[in-house]
Amino acid sequence: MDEPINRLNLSSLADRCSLELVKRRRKEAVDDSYCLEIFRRAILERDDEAWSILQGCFSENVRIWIRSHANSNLALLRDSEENYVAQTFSRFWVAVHEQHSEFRTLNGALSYLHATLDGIFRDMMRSHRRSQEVPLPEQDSPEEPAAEQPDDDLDVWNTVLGLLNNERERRVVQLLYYHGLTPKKIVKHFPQEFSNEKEIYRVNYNIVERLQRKREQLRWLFSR
Amino acid sequence: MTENQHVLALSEESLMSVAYEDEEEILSESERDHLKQCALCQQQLTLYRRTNALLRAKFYRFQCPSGVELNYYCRGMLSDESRKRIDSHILDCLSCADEVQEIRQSQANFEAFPASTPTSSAPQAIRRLIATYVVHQPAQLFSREDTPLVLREDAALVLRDEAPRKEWPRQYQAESIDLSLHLSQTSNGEIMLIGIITSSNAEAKVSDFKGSNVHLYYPPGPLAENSQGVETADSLLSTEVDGGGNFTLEPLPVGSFVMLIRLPEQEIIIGEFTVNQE
Repeated sequence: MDEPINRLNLSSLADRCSLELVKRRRKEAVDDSYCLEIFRRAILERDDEAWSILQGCFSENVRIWIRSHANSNLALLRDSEENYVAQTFSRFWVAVHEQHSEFRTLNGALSYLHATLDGIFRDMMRSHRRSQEVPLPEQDSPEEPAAEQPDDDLDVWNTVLGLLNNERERRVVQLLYYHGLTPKKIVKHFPQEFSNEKEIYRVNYNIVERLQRKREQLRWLFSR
Repeated sequence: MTENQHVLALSEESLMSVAYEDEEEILSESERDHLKQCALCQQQLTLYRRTNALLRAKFYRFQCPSGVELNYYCRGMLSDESRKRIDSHILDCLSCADEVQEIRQSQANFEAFPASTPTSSAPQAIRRLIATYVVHQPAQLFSREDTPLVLREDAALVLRDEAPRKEWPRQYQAESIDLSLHLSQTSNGEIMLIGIITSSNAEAKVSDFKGSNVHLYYPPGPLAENSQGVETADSLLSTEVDGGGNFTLEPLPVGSFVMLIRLPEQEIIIGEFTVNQE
């Protein structure tokens, strides 16, 4: 008679799991309970060996997801496939422990793992977008930031908003710089607020003028 | 800011528009000519571009939940507190609202075990290796059952070069993958190419190669790509690797060929080899 699954040693469990995964890839009928038991021991029992086996069994899935992801080409220019695999398991580990997650189906567990990878790629895209925007410093920029530099980005944001004249300017700043929209897209998405692009260029000009006039006050921003 | 008094000087509004759009679309020819020559306008434009770039780099979605959080939100895997925070955030944030829609769509199409062959959108993801031709071995003939039959000096299939009988079987290596190619004859006298794949990696199993596609081309075959980097060659013969790492290609005409083997983690190209029949 077969040993109960929760009494199987990890080595047998790993073999059964590998076998089931081969069957899965061949689209044959499968029993996911062995794979789920590895997830259970790795996550709920915090068994390090089970966690290593889990990574060994499902790294290939993560690699295939990476290669077929819409942002794969850009992502692989910024970091290696192995690092994305490692990051995915690491973030997944933190999340499942915080949430005390228990999975009832293998598909559920893998969709969580896939969600982690997709999120990492989305964060990479945001970071790529920001890094593309960073211009070269001006030659006469002061080297050291001013002493009154705000503590965090929210303070910086509030300082900038506080220097603006009215709600309209604050709205343009939000759409242009927070959401990264171009004037053309702003008019397209918010025709009830902005009738044409020229209006946005005009408001934007006033904003840039004002911030440049307050350059000394914003040295920590303009000196980066 | 310095006033530009030149009669053709661009308005601040026009200069700001060039900071966002292609100047060809925005400016008239005379305005473009002016911009090329006017240091003051160029200086202003640089200032606008730089300020815009600095502000975007600093503030672009700096308060949005991370992509991982949004994914977990869509999967319903967040605590009540985090879920409510994101609920409230996406009511006001069009970027996150759009992203949540995209994520939901992607999760609806989720496939836990997709085919391992990459789609054409990510052709670079699979490593392509050119196999190295390693050794000559004594000629052997194989039966259809892949069992070595007999070593024969008068093998019917030889290559027409300086040392014809030493060309087959051919051994190739690509990292940990070893490939042995043999020529044999079918019962009706046609040429058959037999391949045997093994791996020197102790962790790899030959059965992992099962179902991998093998394609035979006339040169240059897969070595020729069009301007989009997409292979255009049609294969002459195709087959699949069996559970023992073996494959056969038949009937093989005489001529020169290039072979492509698509393994789960890499593609192996066997450079041009020639088969003649005497």
